[in-house]
Amino acid sequence: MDKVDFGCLEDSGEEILIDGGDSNVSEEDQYFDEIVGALENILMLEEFNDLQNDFCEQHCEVFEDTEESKLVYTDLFSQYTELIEGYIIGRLTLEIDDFSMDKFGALLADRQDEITGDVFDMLMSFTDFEEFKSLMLSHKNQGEGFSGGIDGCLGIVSKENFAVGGTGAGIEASPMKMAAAGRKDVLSPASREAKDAGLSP
Amino acid sequence: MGLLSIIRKVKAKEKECRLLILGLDNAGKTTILKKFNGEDINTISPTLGFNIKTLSHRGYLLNCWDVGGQQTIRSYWRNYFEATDGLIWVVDSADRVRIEDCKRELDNLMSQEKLAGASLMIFANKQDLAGAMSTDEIGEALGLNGEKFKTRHWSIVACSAVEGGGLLEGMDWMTDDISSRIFMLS
Repeated sequence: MDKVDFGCLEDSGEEILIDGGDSNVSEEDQYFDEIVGALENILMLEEFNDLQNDFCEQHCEVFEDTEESKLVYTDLFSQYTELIEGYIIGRLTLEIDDFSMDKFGALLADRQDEITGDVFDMLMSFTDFEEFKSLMLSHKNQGEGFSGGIDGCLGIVSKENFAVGGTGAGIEASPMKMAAAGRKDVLSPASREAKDAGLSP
Repeated sequence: MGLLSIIRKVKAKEKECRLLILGLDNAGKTTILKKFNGEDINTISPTLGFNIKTLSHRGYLLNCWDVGGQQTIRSYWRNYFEATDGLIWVVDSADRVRIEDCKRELDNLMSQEKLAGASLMIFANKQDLAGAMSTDEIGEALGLNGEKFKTRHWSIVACSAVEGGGLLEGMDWMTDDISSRIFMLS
C-alpha cells in the first residue's frame, strides 16, 4: 500500500482530518491513488525526460525572447502537449490494468481539493503556454552557451530542471558547471544530488 | 477531453477566465490591452503573431490573448478559440471603408462552434478621431440586432484606447457577464 500512503502524505494534514470521519479506503480511492502513484513514476522516467528534451532541442531555435509570440509557437505548443499527453496515457495504459481516462477524469473532477502536490503542479505546467515559451527559450540559450557542443550535456541540464519542478528552476546555473557535471551517468539519484549541490550558488 | 485539459480545468484558479481579442488589423487590439494594463502605448507596431497578458480585474484573473489581425493571418485565429470565455471584438470606428470586412469577419466568428458560448464585447475604438462612427452606426453596420446575435450575450462600448475612455466600462461588462454565466452556476 505504499502508493496509497504516499498519496496521503502529499496532502496537507487538514485533509486527513476532514476525511477522518469515514476512514474506509474505497475502491475508487485505491484506483485513484494507484494512478497518481504511476503518474509520479512516469514523470520521473528518463525516457519521458528524453522525449521532452528531444522536442525542445528540435524546435527551440525558432523561439525568440520578445514579448510578442510568433504564431508558430501555438502549433508547437499543441504538438508538445499532445506528445506529453500521448506518452503519459500510453504508459498509464501499460501500467494500470484497467486504466480508463474517462473514469480517472471523473475521479479528478470529484477531487478538486485533493489534486495538489508536485505531480499535479508539473502536469499543470505542461498546459501553460508561457511556461512552454520560457522552457524553449532556456533550451535555446543553453544551446547557444554550448555552441561548441559537448555531447550529452544539454539534455542532462534540462532534465534536472524538469525533475526539480518543471518551472525552469535553476536554469541560470552556469554552463561551465554543467559541463563539468557532464555525462549521462550523472543521472543516478546519488550523483544527481551531488550535482545539485555543486550547482547551488 | 484529455488528461491535461481535465487537470487544467479542475485545478484552474477560481475566477479565472480566458479572453480572446480579435479584430481587423490596425483596429487597436494591442493598444487596448496595453493601455488597460497601464503600459506604454507609444511604441506599438503591427502584431504579426500574438500577445498574452494576464490581468487582474475586480477579483478576476483575465488571461487575454491578442492575436494579429492582418488578412494573411486571420486564418490562424481559429487556433485560439479553444476554451474562450469572452471575445473582445475591436472595431476602428473611423474606418468606414472596411466596416463591411469587419462585419464579415465577425459573422464568421459568430458561426464558430468553439466560440458559441463566449460573451461578446465590441469596442468601438478610436472615438477620439474625427469622423468616428457612433456605437449605433457600428451596431447597425455589424447587424447586431439580427438573428445571429439573438442568443449571444453581447455589448458594444465606445472607447478610445489612446485616451483610455470606455475601456474600464467594457472590461467591467465582460467580467460581469462571464461571471454571471460561469461562476454563479456552481
